[in-house]
Amino acid sequence: MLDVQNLSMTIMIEDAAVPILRDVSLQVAAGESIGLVGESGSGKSMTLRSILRIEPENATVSGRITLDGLDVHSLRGEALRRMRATDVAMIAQNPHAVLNPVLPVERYLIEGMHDAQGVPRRQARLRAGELLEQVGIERIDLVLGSYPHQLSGGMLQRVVIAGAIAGEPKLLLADEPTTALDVTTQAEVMAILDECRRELGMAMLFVTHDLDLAASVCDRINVMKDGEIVERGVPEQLRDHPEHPYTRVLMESRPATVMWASNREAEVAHD
Amino acid sequence: MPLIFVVRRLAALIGVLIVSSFLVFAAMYAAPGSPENFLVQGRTVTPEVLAAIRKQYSLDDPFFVRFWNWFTNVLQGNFGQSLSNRQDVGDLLANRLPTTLTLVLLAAILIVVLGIALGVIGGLRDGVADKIIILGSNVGFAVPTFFAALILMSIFSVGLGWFPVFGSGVGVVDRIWHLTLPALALALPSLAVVARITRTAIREERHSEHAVMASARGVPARLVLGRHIIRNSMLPVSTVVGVHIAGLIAGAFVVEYAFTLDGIGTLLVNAVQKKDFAVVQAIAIILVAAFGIINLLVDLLYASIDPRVRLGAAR
Repeated sequence: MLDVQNLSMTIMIEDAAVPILRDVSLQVAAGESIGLVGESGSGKSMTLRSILRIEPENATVSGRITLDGLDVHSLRGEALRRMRATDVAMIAQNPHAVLNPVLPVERYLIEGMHDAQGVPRRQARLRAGELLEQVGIERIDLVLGSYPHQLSGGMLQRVVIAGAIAGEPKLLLADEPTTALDVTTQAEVMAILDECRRELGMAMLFVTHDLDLAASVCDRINVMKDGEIVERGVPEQLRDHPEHPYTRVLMESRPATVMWASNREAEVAHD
Repeated sequence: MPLIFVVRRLAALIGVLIVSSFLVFAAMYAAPGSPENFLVQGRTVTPEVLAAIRKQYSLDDPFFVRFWNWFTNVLQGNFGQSLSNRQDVGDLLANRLPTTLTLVLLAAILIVVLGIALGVIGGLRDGVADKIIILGSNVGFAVPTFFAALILMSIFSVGLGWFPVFGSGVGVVDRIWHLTLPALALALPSLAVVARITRTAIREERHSEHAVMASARGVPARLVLGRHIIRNSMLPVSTVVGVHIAGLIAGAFVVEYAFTLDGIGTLLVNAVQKKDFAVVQAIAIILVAAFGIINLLVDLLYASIDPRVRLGAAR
């Protein structure tokens, strides 16, 4: 479904072209969950952003990104907007920055459904409540009427997830969705994201620096370093027989998301 | 908006007015020279005459008694009599106020409309338009008001003959016609600052995560611009606009002088020269009140834009 071929990117910084991505190629099939793992600055976020065409203005991009055969970089104006509104949704790292600080939470959800996807306003308002219920928020009316600064990061990230799944996109782009949250909510938010994705059968490209976390939610993983993919494989293979020395380093330095793992097992048992 | 927020700001304004009216009254007496010296106009008079004058104007009462008498009168709208021509200060002000208010209002409209519009254009465009706006704002900020007044007069009044050179006009349309150039001269430095601040704020908001993510969610560009970029950039702009509009009232006298307008500013300059205490005090208090009221309005505007101000800080 998503096919990234030889994606390269350079950014002009003070008259010098700094390479950010080098020949990145990866594929995501429908309903599949793919991990993109690496340390900060390795280019994983930029890979995600260039799929949505929100790379920095001073970036030069080459290569080819297709979404169901459609060349993303050839899209302009209304076609690009429609692709962003309906086909792909992104969950960014810091939910406090993603929501406009001067607008209530309800406006964020309605904006995505009404203004972007064209759902009638009344219907969008009703659906906003249902979506919050779906991501495990209890005091729905209170949260809908709140401003971003009144809610915790975990609560807001659920709102962002609710906004992302509202249009049932084919592909979710998750950019370190739990990194900015505290450890206890990390596991909860991760569980909700994974559950929603499976329920709606959406594909996911999951960016993280935590190889262990990626291993627990992804079907296949790409390890990225200095703008290049250095190793790829299924989680077990990377965990048990890492080939590239960098993958080994990542395995050893993992910040062990034990909470998440145990939570996940409990859920599986519950199902 | 919570009522308590408005009440708190109003109470603060009243406090400021009481304290500043005391300071205004006290400062006049700390200034060199005294009103009775002005009243005798340099003539040598006997101590008896001086004493009679002092008695007539209650200048011998203790300071706090005088302050209290003046303060309670001001509260009832009675600013006393002018020392120089025995006219009621309230009447003097009422005659001059419309000119100054129209001047300040026109200048404020120019600052808000032109300043923000130019700033938005400069913030959104990267090419020549932006460079011209930066250059223009540098020039506008650097040129002193009286000089701008002369330049505007020589170009538009003397050269092109589009606007009158002096006077404040009769009737609404005529008044606006007469006051356009003075308002432009008065507005110029603030207009430049507001355009600059708006430009910077727009540039910052353009790259803010919530604006970028709104685009990434497929929100139409015109809504991203209005709802995310322009709306949020108005936060810093509203503060600057408020301070500058409040400052216009104090700055109006230079322009009134340059264009020979009979506003509050001209009245103040004359009153200071003549040491006409009652008039100077009245104008000073009006300036403080106007400053306070405009700042109150800006605070309320700011709170209505930004929920973090009206609802308190995070969590």
